[in-house]
Amino acid sequence: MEGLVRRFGDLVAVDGIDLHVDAGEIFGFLGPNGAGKSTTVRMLTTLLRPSAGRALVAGHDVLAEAQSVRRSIGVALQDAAIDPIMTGRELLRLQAVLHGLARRVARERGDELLERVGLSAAADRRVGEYSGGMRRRLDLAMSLIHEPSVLFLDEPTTGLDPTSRVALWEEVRRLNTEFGTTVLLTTQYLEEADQLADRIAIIDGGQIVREGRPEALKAAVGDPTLRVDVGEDHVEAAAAVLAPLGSQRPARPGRVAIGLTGGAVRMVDAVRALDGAGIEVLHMELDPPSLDDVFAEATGRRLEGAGEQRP
Amino acid sequence: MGVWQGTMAIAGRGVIKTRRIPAIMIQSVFFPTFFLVIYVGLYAGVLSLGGFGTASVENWYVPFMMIQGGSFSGVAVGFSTAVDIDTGFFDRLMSSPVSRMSILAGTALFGLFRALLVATVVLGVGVALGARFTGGLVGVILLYLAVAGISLAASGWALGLIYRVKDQRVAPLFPIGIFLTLFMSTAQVPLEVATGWLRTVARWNPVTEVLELSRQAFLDDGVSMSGTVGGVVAILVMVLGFGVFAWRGLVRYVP
Amino acid sequence: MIGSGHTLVQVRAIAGRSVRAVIRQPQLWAPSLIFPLFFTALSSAAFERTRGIPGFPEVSSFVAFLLAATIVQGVMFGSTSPGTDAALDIESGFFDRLIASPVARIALVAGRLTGIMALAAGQCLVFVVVLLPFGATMAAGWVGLAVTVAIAALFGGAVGGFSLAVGIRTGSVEAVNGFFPIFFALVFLSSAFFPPNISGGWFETVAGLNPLSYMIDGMRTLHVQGWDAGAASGSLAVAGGLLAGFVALSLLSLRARLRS
Repeated sequence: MEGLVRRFGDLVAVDGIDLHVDAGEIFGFLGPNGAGKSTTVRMLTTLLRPSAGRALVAGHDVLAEAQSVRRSIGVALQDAAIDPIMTGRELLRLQAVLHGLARRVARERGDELLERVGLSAAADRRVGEYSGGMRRRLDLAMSLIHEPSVLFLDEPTTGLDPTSRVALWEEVRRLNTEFGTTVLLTTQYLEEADQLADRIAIIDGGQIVREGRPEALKAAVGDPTLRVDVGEDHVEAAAAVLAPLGSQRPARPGRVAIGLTGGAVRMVDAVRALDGAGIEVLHMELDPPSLDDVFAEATGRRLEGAGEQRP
Repeated sequence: MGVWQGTMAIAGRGVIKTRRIPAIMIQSVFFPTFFLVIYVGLYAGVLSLGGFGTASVENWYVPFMMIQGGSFSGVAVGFSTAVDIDTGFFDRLMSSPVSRMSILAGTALFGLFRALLVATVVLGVGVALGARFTGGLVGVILLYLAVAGISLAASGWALGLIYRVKDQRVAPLFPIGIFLTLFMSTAQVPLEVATGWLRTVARWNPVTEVLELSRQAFLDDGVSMSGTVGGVVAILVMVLGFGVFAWRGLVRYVP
Repeated sequence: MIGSGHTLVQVRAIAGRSVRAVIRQPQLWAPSLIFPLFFTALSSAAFERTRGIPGFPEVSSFVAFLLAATIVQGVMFGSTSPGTDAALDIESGFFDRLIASPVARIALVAGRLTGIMALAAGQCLVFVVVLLPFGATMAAGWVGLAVTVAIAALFGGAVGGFSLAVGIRTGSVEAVNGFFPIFFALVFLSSAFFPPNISGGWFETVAGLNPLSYMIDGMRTLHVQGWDAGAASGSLAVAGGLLAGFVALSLLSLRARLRS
């Protein structure tokens, strides 16, 4: 992607994105709601035309060679795009035909994929009866039926229960290692980006604020985060007391967070300082830098959205 | 992959769904059949005015009711497309390599298939009520041609609207457009009998030509060149016109 | 009766709610005004010359003949909302809240129907006003108009009552909409759109059995001929009878639902 921009009237949803994703990697787009993740994905899957800039997917331009792009990609968007009246098997077969697969190949691959995502038993039931997790799995199967070289997953595990989520992660990893499928996934969950992606880009307000391997980004933040709950009335005092021990980081109400310079051993100093000032500590914890800290450092805010948040 | 394959796949999906939910088919068949029975009973005495070209009220109204049924089947694809857009299934179609032409043709083809089915049921009821063919096999072919043409034009209208607006709320416009166009013609009475504004509007309405084409199957005069040419031209114009309307809407679907 | 004053207040409140709900959604009532007017315009232009057929009643224009049919058709289209509203309330749980409140049971029914009857009266006036310049007549004058409006209101209540009975009994919007064709058929299989004596055959027989034919014939007499106490009272009786019957049906449905 080069200088990719998308405007909706006065709103600039995507504001100049320059990015390169290598073949065979799992790339994560991490950001809060409204950051522009889905808009970017829609541009890359030819469902939206960029207002400015260029993008190449699998070597093809999304505007000039849209049809070629569509042949190379698999897409599983935010809401599982299904037809409730058809059965899982029928939908897979339809998708296969739409991609030009011969009937026999379509059937074989369909059965294989149903097996892989664990829907063989439910294959001949109407999709309208599937649970949310089952629909996502079918969605994934439909996006894979033609063995695309690039797979786009837009918030693939939002709303799924933990077991389904882990199962999906395993499937994505297997696709990547066994078939070398390039995966671009968007997510608002830190853990997902952290665990799955080889590289990530953190996107906020339509722009990329950080990019790189998760470990590298976290290491760049450096210091672990010390979080101390002191109650709303004592936040200012506590912040002042702890200021010499490290730079302040964003925290939720009633809590002070700092990047503790010198590492865990300095926790003792923090305890002593607060005790000396007569501030009662309700709760204290020390965590290594997380992607949330990376985000906070880049934007001054904590990442919103459900999931494993520790503001 | 050819355009043909994609078209058949999309049309086939419609067939699967219709088979699975027969209620839709029943609804499509109910109204035109119901209206045929009502009209045949209600307006039985009107033909004594003369000028209808037949003395049988069934003969007069069956073609119109077939066309009406066909038009609503054609429009129904607009409703199902609206649902697909809503569920995101349409995005899946658009992001797959199936050609845009296949999407439009497959959808319209399915509407046509249903229209012909509905029209045949209406025809059966009409014959049971007493309608008798006067135009032979050619007349019947032209009759079905008229139904097909109206169905495709109606699909074009509905699809053109939904591709542009992408919101179910535009759906009520589909049947309204059809109603206005179909009825402001010689649907109920011939031009000679109609009075006032209706006569003027009906004279210019291409649907009047199509009705004349279709009625050749049942009117005393049977099939003739003069009765056929106007209708065929009208069908071509409408199908092409609304077809382009729908096509441009689809091409512009991706904002 | 103790509490009857209170009940009236409740009726007014519920009526107000249903009237407001309908007014705020033009897509609900606009079709019930526009479609009948369109069809009347269309039919009168198409069938004007049929007035010359022997046996056709004396009318100055086909529009005058169709005024009663227009009103009945429009009121019928527009009066099905009590059923769908009740079904939606049941689906959303609001109905349970109503039941749990000290609202008199009869107020639940009367309130919704009063609202729809007021709307039907309004519709009737609109039809008369719009069609008068196009050839409609009100031969029985102001009294005739008053009676026509009353019949429209009663009929609207009747249609609403039927719809409400179905809505309460089934709690399903689809079921309510599924019953709509029945009323549709009833109006068409009557003397509304064309004199049955000219139509002849099975149609004349069926129309003769349809109570709506009598209601419409009575209205039409007031419109094209002049005041006729017999015609007026006959039509009022039919409309009132239908209303009473369907209100009873609604109350029975309500009792059945409350018991389960």
